[in-house]
Amino acid sequence: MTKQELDKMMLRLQQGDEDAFEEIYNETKRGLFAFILSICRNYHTAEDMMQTAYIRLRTTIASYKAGSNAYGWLYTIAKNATLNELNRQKRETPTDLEDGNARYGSYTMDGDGSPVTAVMNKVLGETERQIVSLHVFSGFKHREIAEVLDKPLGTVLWTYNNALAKMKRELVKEGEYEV
Amino acid sequence: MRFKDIEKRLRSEHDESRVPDVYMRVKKAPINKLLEGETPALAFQKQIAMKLLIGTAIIFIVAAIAVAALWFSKPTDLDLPDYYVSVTVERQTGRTESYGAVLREDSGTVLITEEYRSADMSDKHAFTECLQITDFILFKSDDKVSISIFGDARNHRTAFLIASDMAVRLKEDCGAEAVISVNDAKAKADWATYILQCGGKATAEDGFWKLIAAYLNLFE
Repeated sequence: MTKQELDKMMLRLQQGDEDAFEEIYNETKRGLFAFILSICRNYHTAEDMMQTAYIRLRTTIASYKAGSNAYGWLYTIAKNATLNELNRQKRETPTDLEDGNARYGSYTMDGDGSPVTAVMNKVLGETERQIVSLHVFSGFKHREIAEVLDKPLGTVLWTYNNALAKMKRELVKEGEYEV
Repeated sequence: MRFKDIEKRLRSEHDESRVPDVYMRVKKAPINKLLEGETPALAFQKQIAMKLLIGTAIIFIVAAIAVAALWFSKPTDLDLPDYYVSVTVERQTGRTESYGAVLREDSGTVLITEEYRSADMSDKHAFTECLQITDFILFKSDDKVSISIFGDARNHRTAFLIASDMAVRLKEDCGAEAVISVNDAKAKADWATYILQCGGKATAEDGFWKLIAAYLNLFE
């Protein structure tokens, strides 16, 4: 779904079209989940945050402005919801976040069938993961990523290329790719 | 290896990954009303209210069905007896005595309601309990006894068995012969006339449940 099509869907939802929400959900769920997962790195937390993001989408749809970046708007909602949740978890259960083994849950992207994703999660930092996720999984342009993450375009471009270079080195090291 | 290859592999793995269907989960949960802009408390309150409403509706429907079933089987009163028995005894002396009794099938109890058939209600015994009609009425072997039993038309066979049992008991205990009749039209007309004489409202065309209700009202 293009940005313009999503914008139309958002306007339909704003006018109370229930079917529009389902279409938005089906079109964005995959990319949004990967993005949230790149932030929190825990399958179950990501699931909850995904739910929260869509609930907030529904409850704040009145504030959506026609012609604005619908994807950016949705992803910003998801990012803020996830960061708030992580902060809350950090305050209430600090050990949970520090336990790296428990963070991925049962997410299949991290398993044997997803070696490149596993490398991404292994070697990239949080911001790098978010940028790669937004670009590769959600199809965001770097300019759009800069908007969502509130970072300069140059930083996004540099971080993205640096992230892929780190992944390439690790993949070669693990024998996934030949030099 | 190019960056494009890494991106391609990542995209491919991503497309094959499992994504939780939170929409379905939300739809099933009470919180789903949040999608419609409700507060969590209101969403949960509404769900509880809906559960209570459904529970109450089910109880109401079950009660209504039970009451309807009882109404159709015994339309006047839940405590109505199942049968009315009129016993007429012609003594050797020429004296004729009439007795009335009601029977409850579940307990097998006989409740003598009329010691002597008379339009004067002060002569009546209301609900003197005994197990057999012979426990209350003294029969002699040379008495001519007629037993008329009335009951719901659907229980005609049971009524006949009860009357037969009474006749057998009468023969064995007292040696008296008894003629039995079940829902006999003439006896029913007599019963209705008797109820009228006593101040009740009844006609020979009334069904059993209407007659028994009118009859029992005489004792209230």
